[in-house]
Amino acid sequence: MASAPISRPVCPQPSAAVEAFASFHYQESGASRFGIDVVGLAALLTEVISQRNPAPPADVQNVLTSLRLEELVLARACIAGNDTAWEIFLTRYRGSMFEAAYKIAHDEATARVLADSLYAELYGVNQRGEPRTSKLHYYLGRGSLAGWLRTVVAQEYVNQYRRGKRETSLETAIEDGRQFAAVEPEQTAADPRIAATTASELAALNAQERFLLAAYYLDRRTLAEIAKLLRVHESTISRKLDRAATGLRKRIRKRLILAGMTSQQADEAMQDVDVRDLPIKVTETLKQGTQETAFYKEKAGEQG
Amino acid sequence: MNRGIPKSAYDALASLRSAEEHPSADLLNGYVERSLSATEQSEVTQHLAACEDCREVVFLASGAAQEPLAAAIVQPTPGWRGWKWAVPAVALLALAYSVLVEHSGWFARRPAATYIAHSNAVILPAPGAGNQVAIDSNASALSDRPAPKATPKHRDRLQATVIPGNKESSGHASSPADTIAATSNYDRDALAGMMSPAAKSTPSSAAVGGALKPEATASAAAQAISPLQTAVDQQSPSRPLGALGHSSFHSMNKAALGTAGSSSHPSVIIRSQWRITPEGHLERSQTADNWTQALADQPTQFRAVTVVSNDVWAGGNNGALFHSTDGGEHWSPVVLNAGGHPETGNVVSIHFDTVSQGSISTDTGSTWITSDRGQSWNK
Repeated sequence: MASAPISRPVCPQPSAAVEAFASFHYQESGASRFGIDVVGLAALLTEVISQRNPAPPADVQNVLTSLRLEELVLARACIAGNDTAWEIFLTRYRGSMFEAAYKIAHDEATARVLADSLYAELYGVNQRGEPRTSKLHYYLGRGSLAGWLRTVVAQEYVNQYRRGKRETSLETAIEDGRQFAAVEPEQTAADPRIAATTASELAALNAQERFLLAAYYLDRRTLAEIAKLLRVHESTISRKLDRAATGLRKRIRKRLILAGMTSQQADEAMQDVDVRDLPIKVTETLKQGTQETAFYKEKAGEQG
Repeated sequence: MNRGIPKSAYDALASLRSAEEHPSADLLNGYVERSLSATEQSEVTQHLAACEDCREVVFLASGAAQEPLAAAIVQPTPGWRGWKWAVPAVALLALAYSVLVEHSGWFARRPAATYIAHSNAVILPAPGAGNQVAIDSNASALSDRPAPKATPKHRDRLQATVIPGNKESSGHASSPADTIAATSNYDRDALAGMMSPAAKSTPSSAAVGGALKPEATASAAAQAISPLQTAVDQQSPSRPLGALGHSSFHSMNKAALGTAGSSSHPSVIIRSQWRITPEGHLERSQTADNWTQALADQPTQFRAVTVVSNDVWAGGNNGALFHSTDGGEHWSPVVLNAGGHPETGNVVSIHFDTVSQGSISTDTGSTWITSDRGQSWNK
């Protein structure tokens, strides 16, 4: 694969800790295969640390030891247009990238398009003579390179879906037989105390509980899916969900009564909604917000 | 489980929006792989709670992950639930003990048996001993106690193996108490927890896979003092390496020592144990809680170590592989090379069925096989 000029952000000088780390782990990093010397490795690490800001200086050692060094060096060598690096990259990840795309898209053609478009972005797009910027620049070694590629494929899939929904014309929608709901007459105004109390109690939950509730009730994820993501047993997720939902109900009801509602009114306000009965598929109704594709906005993005 | 939430809560959840930028793919992948710092983890969780798109991405990425990620799902620690089994297990043992002692004269018929605990502690036979009974390390705490009769419920879990003694050409289980290889977590928890608090955390069956082979048991017992060692195989590349290995091997060590200590036999040889620390250091222990780093001069971050007979194999980053044929005293590097292309992936799994035949897997999906004790490797 032919090399092309790449953007090289200005980086601060490597610190003594980074230089020592680079020297000690040079052989293990495999940097020598790509013609990167110890100084180059230290510069590379410094650049990555600066991209991963805000990292207090005291955390630099932790950041360094947690890096996926070998994969990070491979990615940076690919960015630099090293043929050997690309050969290794394609050998290792070509198959797994398509496999990930297929698992995400559940369709071979879409998976192929996803994977191919990603190749171009990984190599780096060149806009009118400007230096190319590879998407690999955003890989900062927090997790495995294979996992990062899977995540990028997933982001691309979500972005494509959102773009596709936005670009569907009214005529096409009508031709497809889409029905547009009539504007519903305004319903009886709900007691503002209910919304305020609920929002307040929801905000009082910790982020993990809100995440669980949203994933299960809004996104309709199964216990198995959530358990796999969080690497705990399904029963643990079930227990946590139960605790969060039950506690939320109790606290909202209690506050509504304190706010002046009778027990009966509070109970009526606590009418359940079981999202599994709702006629909507939230996961397929990705938000049609005005925001453009917003992923990949690591600090490096501005530098590249 | 209460499957519903109030409609107001549902509406409020749906209206949550994160004011922040979406986390990068690197952060989201770190979240999926559980490799973020505590601060980053908290920030990403905060964002995910309010961002449907990013939740979609992490679930898609998690779902597209290879099986090793699923395999790395941590089962809940039995904790107190494991102890629930201890009570009936104790009762069962007590009942079996009384039945055997009072009615069958079990001990009177049997000469003092010599027990060999698989894994690390090898107890030499006492002079004049009759049968030698091999006990899997998981049940090693039973060495000086009778085991319960296998109830129908547990019969499929309990495997009795009698190693023929010096005077017998073949043997069969004269009693289920001869040897018990507990194969369920609860069984092991109950037994280990009951007998030795130190052994409460039991090793996985994978970690002691090598010690469970009947043929290995037989040959080892026939030789009486041939080294019995524990094969250690890190199964999951994405899992923090030290966490499981450390506790497992500590408990194994303590269990083995506890067995030796509780035995009335004087001659005990402690074999080496191996582990990999969270920092990727290879460590060896010949006595309890005394670990020394092996191959300290190597910059390799180790990820897998396996012991088979006197051979020790250790592998790590960048295809690094080391082999010792003398129990870890001397090491030689091994290069995995196919057609001039050396292995560059991280060695994440080493498995040997015999001293000669084994395979090595890397996180790039490569598998290397040898059938000549590592002299040559095929990809």
